[in-house]
Amino acid sequence: MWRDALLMAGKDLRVEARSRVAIGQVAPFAVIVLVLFAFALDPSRGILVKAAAGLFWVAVLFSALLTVQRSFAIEAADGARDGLRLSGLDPAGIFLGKALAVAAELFVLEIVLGAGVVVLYNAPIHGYLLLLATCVVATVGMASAGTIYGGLAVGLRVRETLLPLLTLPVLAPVLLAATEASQAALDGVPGQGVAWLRLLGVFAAIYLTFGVLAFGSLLEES
Amino acid sequence: MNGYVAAGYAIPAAVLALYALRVLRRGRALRRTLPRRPQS
Amino acid sequence: MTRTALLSRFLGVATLLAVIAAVIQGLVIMGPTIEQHEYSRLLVVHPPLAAVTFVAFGVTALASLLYLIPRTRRREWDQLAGASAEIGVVLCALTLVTGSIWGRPTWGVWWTWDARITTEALLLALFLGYLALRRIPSDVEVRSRRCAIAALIAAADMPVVHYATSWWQTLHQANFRLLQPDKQLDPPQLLGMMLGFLAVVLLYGWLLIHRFQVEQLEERLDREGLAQALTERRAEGLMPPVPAEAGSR
Repeated sequence: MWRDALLMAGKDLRVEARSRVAIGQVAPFAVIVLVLFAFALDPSRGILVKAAAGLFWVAVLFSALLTVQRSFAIEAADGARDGLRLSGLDPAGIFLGKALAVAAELFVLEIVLGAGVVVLYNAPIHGYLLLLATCVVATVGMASAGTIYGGLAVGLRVRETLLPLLTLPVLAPVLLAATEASQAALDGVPGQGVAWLRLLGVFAAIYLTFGVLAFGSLLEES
Repeated sequence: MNGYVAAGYAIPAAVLALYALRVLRRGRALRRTLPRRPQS
Repeated sequence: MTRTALLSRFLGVATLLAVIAAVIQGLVIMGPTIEQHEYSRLLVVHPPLAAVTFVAFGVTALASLLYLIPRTRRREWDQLAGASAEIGVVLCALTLVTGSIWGRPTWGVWWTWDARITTEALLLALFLGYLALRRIPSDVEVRSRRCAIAALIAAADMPVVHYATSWWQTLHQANFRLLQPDKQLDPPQLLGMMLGFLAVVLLYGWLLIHRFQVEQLEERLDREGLAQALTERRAEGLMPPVPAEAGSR
């Protein structure tokens, strides 16, 4: 299973490297979202700095949707899905591979967004370790959940509108926990943040499990 | 009677009644369109 | 009369009786309370709706699970899941509306980020997504399996969401008005609430039967309607063209 996962992830990342969609389109989109927040909220009143953690994660969430859409869009062309099914790869491995690729792309986006938040909102950064851990675990959770729903919605013409509707309510608690953990890190009270981190871990575990178990039946048909 | 309490009783009653009617009507329409079939 | 029709008749009558009893208890017999004045009457409406929402979604989750397990897979489970989900969405929306109606005069706000309310709102969003999935035209088996997975994820998510939001609530206490803690209720209030539960549960049962039948009929229509349309098309080749019947869909 793991070998198939790495194979799959490698393939997805290589497609990304060649097409540069995540870097060329999603990243600018994410930064624009940050700018929009600044327009919507008065930058002079310090709201941006106070809300920086939450705004960061909202931007990440939207980017995650686009990344997952893209991840499954590349399978839609040229009967790639049939190719996947016939390839004999373990479906659980396919799931893990795709989720891994999405997570990797998201992680890069988070670095970009993190820099954006620091630069655009003048947000100071503390508690690096907790922030990093939060990013990693939350990203795993988001990537897993997104990949499951991406697989659910694959091949449907209404995918563009259905995927956000399905995924966002499920990711809402991830947003909540990630924001709380990040805020705790920035406020210098990591103890509380660790508790939220554990909750993020629970989410990630749930979605990874579901994905590994259910992706097989999702791939089975078209 | 209090307006809020009235709304609190009336709205669920109305919505649920309308929903029930909708379900019944759909059932009736479907039974009409389907070809006759022996009771299973 | 078939057994189902008999059950439906019984449930229907029982529901009507329970509703009448509950309304009388709530509006006439129950008096205003000290803390909540007139609004304690809403105990007959709001908590029952909230509780049966969970029952409905629970049935959906259970039926989805049974459908996914190959050994117990039957069309009926998927149909049951879909029927219960739709009723659940109606009940969930009503729960939020009645909660809002209750909240406005008692705490002055239409909405509050209390853990329970927030969880119910997310639940509504999740199952609206489920219903959207069901409407997508696709092979029945495919659609059923996707919906079942979506339902199970939603169900598994719920406890975690509730835990997360209640914790979140305690952290940001200043901004939230806590829902009335479930303290001891006086007998008239308690009876009213119980009657309300009874009424909504019976109604749910009745609705479930009929909505389930609609689900079955629609599936039959899809299957047989298609077969019929094909036969008609083939027949057209042998006979002079006849104005086509309006499509059975």
